[in-house]
Amino acid sequence: MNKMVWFTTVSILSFVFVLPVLLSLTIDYIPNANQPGYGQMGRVSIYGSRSFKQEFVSEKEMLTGIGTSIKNPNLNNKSEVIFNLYDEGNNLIRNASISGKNIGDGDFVKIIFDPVIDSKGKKFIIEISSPQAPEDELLELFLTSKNNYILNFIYESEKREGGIPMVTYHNFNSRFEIAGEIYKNLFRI
Amino acid sequence: MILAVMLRVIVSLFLFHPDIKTINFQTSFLRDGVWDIYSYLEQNKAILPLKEEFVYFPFTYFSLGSYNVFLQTILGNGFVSWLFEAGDGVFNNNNVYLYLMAMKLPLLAFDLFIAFLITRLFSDKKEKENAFLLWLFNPFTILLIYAYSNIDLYTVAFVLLSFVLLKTNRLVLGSVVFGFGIAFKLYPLVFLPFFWLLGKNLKERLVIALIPIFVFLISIIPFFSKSFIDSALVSGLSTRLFYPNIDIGFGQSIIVSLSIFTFIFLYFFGKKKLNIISVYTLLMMTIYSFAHYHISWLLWISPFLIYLVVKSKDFYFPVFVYAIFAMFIPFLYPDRSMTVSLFRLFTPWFELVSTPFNIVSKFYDPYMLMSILHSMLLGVSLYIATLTIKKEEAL
Repeated sequence: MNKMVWFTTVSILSFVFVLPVLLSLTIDYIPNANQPGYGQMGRVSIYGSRSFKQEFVSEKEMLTGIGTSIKNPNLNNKSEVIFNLYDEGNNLIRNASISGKNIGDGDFVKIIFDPVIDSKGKKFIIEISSPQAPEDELLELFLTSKNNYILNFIYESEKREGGIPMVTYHNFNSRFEIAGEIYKNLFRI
Repeated sequence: MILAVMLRVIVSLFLFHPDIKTINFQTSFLRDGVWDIYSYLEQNKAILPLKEEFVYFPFTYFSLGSYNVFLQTILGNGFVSWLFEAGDGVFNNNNVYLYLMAMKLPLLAFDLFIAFLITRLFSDKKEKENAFLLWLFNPFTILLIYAYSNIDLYTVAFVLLSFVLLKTNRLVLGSVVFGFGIAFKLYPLVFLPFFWLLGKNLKERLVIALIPIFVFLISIIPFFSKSFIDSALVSGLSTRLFYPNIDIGFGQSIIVSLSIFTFIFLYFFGKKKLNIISVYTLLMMTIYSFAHYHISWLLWISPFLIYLVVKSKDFYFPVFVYAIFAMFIPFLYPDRSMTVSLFRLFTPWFELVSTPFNIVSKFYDPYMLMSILHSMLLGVSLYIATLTIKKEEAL
């Protein structure tokens, strides 16, 4: 029976304190924040030449992706969806695309690209478009208010405050950083 | 005992399953005088932050609701606001550990109650000690109860108490307590026909078989409505018990578990003495063998598997293997809250961690793997069932 006491103690302590760190080894990048709520600002649609540009600030180093919710009504859009990342000088620095076939209606879509070193505190613009899509294959983007890093958006040549409820993703220097964060949070008790 | 409680507190504090918060949110309306929670949630769905239906019975609502009234009085408005929170504020709240522990305290009380209750199934002192220790020190029930915030524990306590009473020939009282168990959660109902076999004459058989139904009906009749039927009586989990079937054409199908329940009933029908624990274990194993079970269901059988292990060492290895398989299968379900999201309190980054389902799908079909494991679970169940019948006299 003593063996069972040991087995249980070691199993439970490992499950609570060791397993989370092992699981964290599978994390490749971390978000800058939790995704903001959608708010009351409605939605905008993109198709053909109608694209959407979002101005944002990278709050951390090594920007490696963005994530946001996209509506694909009736899953009609099956065309290429392009994500272009521009620096503050409007130079195209990264480019990625996915097929609309892989976007569900209201899915949270993550786009990952090669990390941008020295990104902390710098402004970027992400442009989302689906140039091959006709009007009946439009995609919709939710809108939210301005915050620390979501600045302005440009839609149909008009610049307005706020933008899509996005998060940015960042590479990290060391996996110890993640393990440290886990234990730090754990002992806020 | 101190070590046993400490392990339980650690799991209670650090592992979070959303069910405990949802149930406490729903039962918190008792303090506002809401009696028919089913209709209330349906009518106010549009304005409530959590949209889930209340899938439990009225007895559950009033029992947990009464404790929730106590919690609201002690913990104040901050607790109520936290219950109404649906976003990341749930995890960022500085009092989250306090709230989790407070909500899980009744589980601790009932868990320890079961540890003492389980000893009443034995007459031998050594067996009593082993059963007590095995209930307190096995990682399976600790995780099932505290990680998944498993309120099925209350039904398990009622069923176990009922069996203790039945074993000591207090049939009517045992039958009443069993009725309370069904009023909390419906699953023990599968054992009800066996009450018929416990009575000595027709009158006694009728009384003890009808009492649980009577207790159950009394507890639900005042709340009978369409909302109640849709939410609790025919909820997905309740009907899932009878889902596995074999199509025989022309719209008919064989409900596998029901066929086996009938076989078990007839097998024990002619016996002079009914071993209620053997029967109950066989019934529960039938459910897990042929249903897409929820991990919390595994608690239903736990005290009775411990009984078998304590009674005969021959059960030790097969029951251990059974527990491993039975726990592992739900970990593969495509449901974050069963696995990685349990650690969501540690950091929101766990939302980025792949579930075991996603990891397996990179190498192999996870549904096929689940099917293989579930088939093997059936094999282990058959072995334990054979052993149980073989050793029936000694159990």
